[in-house]
Formats: sequence, C-alpha cells, structure tokens
Amino acid sequence: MDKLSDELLIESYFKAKELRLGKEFIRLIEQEIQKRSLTRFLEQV
Amino acid sequence: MNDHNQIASFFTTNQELENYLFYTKYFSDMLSRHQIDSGRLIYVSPSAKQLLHFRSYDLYGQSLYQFIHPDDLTFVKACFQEKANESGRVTYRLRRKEGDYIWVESQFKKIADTFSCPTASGEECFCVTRDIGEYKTAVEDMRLREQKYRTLVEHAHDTIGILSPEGHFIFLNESGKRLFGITRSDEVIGRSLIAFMHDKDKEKITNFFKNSWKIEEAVEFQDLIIVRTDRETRDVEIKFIPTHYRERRTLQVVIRDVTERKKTEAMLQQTEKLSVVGQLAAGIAHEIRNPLTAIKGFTQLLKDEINHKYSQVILQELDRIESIVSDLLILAKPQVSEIERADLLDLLNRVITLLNSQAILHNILIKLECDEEAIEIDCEPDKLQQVFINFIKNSIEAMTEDGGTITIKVRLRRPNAVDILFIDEGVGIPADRLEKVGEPFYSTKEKGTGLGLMICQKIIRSHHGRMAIESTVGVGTTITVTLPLKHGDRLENV
Repeated sequence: MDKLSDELLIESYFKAKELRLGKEFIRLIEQEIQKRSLTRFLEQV
Repeated sequence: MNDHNQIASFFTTNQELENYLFYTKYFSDMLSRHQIDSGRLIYVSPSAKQLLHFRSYDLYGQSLYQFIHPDDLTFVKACFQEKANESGRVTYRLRRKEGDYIWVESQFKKIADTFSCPTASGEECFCVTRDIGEYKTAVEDMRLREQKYRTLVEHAHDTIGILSPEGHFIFLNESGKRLFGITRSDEVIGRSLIAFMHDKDKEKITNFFKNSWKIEEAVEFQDLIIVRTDRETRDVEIKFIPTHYRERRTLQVVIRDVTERKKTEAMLQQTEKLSVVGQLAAGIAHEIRNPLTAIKGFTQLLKDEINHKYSQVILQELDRIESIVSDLLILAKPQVSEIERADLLDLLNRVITLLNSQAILHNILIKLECDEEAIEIDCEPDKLQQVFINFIKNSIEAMTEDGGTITIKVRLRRPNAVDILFIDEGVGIPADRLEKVGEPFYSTKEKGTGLGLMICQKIIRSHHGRMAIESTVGVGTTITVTLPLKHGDRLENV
C-alpha cells in the first residue's frame, strides 16, 4: 500500500467508492490517506 | 547280691513314683481318668486347679461330660466311644469353675481291665488335657487377618490375581472378573493371561513368562491392551510380583485399568490443541486480514481497469481465504454474549427456509419433527442459527448423490434441556475419521476448511450444551445437540 503514489491512492479511493467495494478496503485506504496527510484531497469533492 | 538288686529296684520304683508325682503336681497338663460310658471321673490330677480352677477332689465322681461345652459334647463323646479309636486327640471347650469356657486339647488312651477297678463296666479313658486357648486365639487371629486381606483383595479396585510361572490363572478377584468380562472365576482359572492379551502384546508377555522363574523383583508393563471375552479392549498397566502361594512359586499380578485415564488424557490434549489453535488463529487472522483486504480491493479495481480474465480466479480464491479468516476470527474472538430468549422452532424453521432451495435442487426433503408448539430457549440466536446451517449444509453435501430426507427431531428433555437431532441419510463417516471430526483443519470434504464443526462445537459449548455424532457408512449420520433451556444451567450427566 505504501508503495502507491499519492495520486494513485486518491484515485483508488474514489474508484473503490464508485464501485462500492468492501467497506474494509475503503477504510484501509482512508487510513493510508490520513497517514500521508492527504485528507484535503478528499474534501475537495 | 540279690538283696542289693532288690534295694536298687525299690529305689528305682520309688524314684519313678516320685517322678510321676511331680508331673501330676507341678505341670499344667491335667491328667485324668474317666469312664467312657458315663463320663464319671475316677482320677483328676491336682493341676485341675490351674487349668479349670477346680480342686481335684471337687471333680471326683462327677461326669466329665457335664463340663464340656454343649456344642462340642456330641463329637467329643463320639470320639471317645468310637471303637476304632484306641487313642487320639480331641479339641473342645471345657467349663471352668467361674463358668467360662476354655479351649483344651485332650490326648487320650483307652484302658480296659485295670487293677484298681477290675469290675468297671465298660472301658476307661486316660486323658492328658492342656490349655490351647492361646493357640486357638492365634489361629482365630490368623483367620480374621486372612479374611481381612481377602476382603481387601476381593474389593480392590485393581485386578489382583495369582498366576503360575507359566502365566496360568490360579486365582482372580472380583475386579478381575469385571475387567475380563466374565461372571465366574472358573471361566478364567487355568487359562493363560496371554490369551487375553492383544496380539501386539502377546509376544512381550510370552517372553516375560519364559523368564519369569528367575525374576526377583516386581516387573511392570505399561501401555498394554487386554481383549475382553466380548472382544472389547481395555488399556491396562500390568505388574507382576514374584510370590509364593501354597508352597508354589507363583506370580501375583496386579492389572490396572487405565482406559478412562487414557480417555481423559486424550481429551485434555485435544482441549490443549484447541486453545493453541485458538491463539494461533487470533494471531494469523489479525495479520492476514489487512493485506487480504488490500489484495482483494485492488484486484477488484484491476478487474475494472483492464477486464483481466484471470482476476475472476484470483477473486474466487480470495473469497475462500476470506471465509477461512473469518471462521478463524469467530474461533478466536472473545465471547460477546448477547443472550436473548428465542423460539427454537422458529430458528430452525428460518434455517430450513433458507436452505430449502438448495436441498430441493439435490432432491432432498428437510423435515422438522416436534410435539411442542414452541420451545423458548436462552441463546444467541445468530450463533445457534449458524450451527444449524452448518449441520444441515453438511447433511446436504453428504446426500447430493441419491437425495433423501433430512429429519430434524426436537425433543424436550426433563428437567430443562432440549435435544435436537439432525438425522441424514448420507454417505456417513468411517469410524477412523469420526474420531478426528471436530479437529481443526480436518475435513472430510474436498472444499471444507475443517473449521465448521469446530466452530459449532465452540458455540454449543458457550451455550453450556453438548453435541454427539453417530455415523454409519452408507446409512447416514446423526448429530445430537443437547442444550439447556435457561442460560447458565448446566446439563446434568444423563
């Protein structure tokens, strides 16, 4: 997960949301986003 | 010369007389003479004083027979009167002056035609009588002690027996009869112990008996198996102790039945295994869950991205791993109990509805049999449902080939428990596999995780219930679950 670039991470997040993938998976990505302090990208949308 | 001889013989005679006098006076043996027919005493030596506390002149003219214990009188009389007995010994009880009886032994000799009483009618008897009270007490003591040991041996929990050096039974106690499954000890007396040994132990024991004559100390064997007369087997430990029995060199054998102990040990081991697996499961599940979620998620994204034909396979396998992990988590999860009161029949009906379509597909009928309208039970409904689903699914899988009926019988059991029987007509489980059922990761099914029954067991145990599996290959399997109706109640050992 930490090998993923920031852009790809954010992209995965939205895609997962869009495809309604598992809650656990989305939570995992959210955790990683928080760890990298990228939460502002989430708020943009 | 002649005079001298006479004097010498006079002294000798006198001395002899004196000897007799001393004997009658000072020795505790009582000398007496009586007429056999009447028992009338003609002579009693002074030692009657010591023996019977009577003065001898008190006894003259009295009948000896009146002093003999009534129980002994008949045979003592018979003994004196028997024509063939010229002399002999007889043991009986004599009354003392104080009225108590003492055990005596009389040595007697019959005399006919005496000087003193040539006209005596019938024969006379000369007796030397001595007190054998102490001897008698000792014999009695010994008898009691023997009885005590015999009781000890007969009622001992272990099997105790005596064997000839070749291994043939000479004696066997009660426990032994139970161990070998026989009712009378003569069924085993004369038979060899080797005949009861399991084939694997026969050689060991045969070899032992070959050298048994030279052993000095007790020899112990462990992990032996005895085959009873009804072909059942018992795990035993056997100890041979060299001993003597009726002047013969023999072996005392002590057989301890450890079947129950072995069972308990095995059960403990199983419990131990389960708890280790539980801990392991918790660890593994935690470690695996996150990477697994990530893999699954990204694979799903990948599938969307390039529509890869392999991703379907990956996702299928991932689902399987996920199901194992979640099974493991259930096992490892600390028990959060949310006990509710629910209707057991309602629960079962819901499960049946859920699985009915799958059953019909395989030409299987699920039948619920119960005499009650409703059975209220304290339980965690979801957990119990999971157990029921598991059992019925197993049954369906066992019956896919020929179809048939799955019968669920619910019976109330006094005072406050319920039996739920899941009876299928499936392929059954072979006995050797049945033992392993419920062990983690042991599955008879190709696709099983080997955790299903273990989870069921855990859930049932957390409800303080129990389950039992019976199975016959080709006939079917019956699972019996017994649950207490009220939470916290323990099942009585029925």
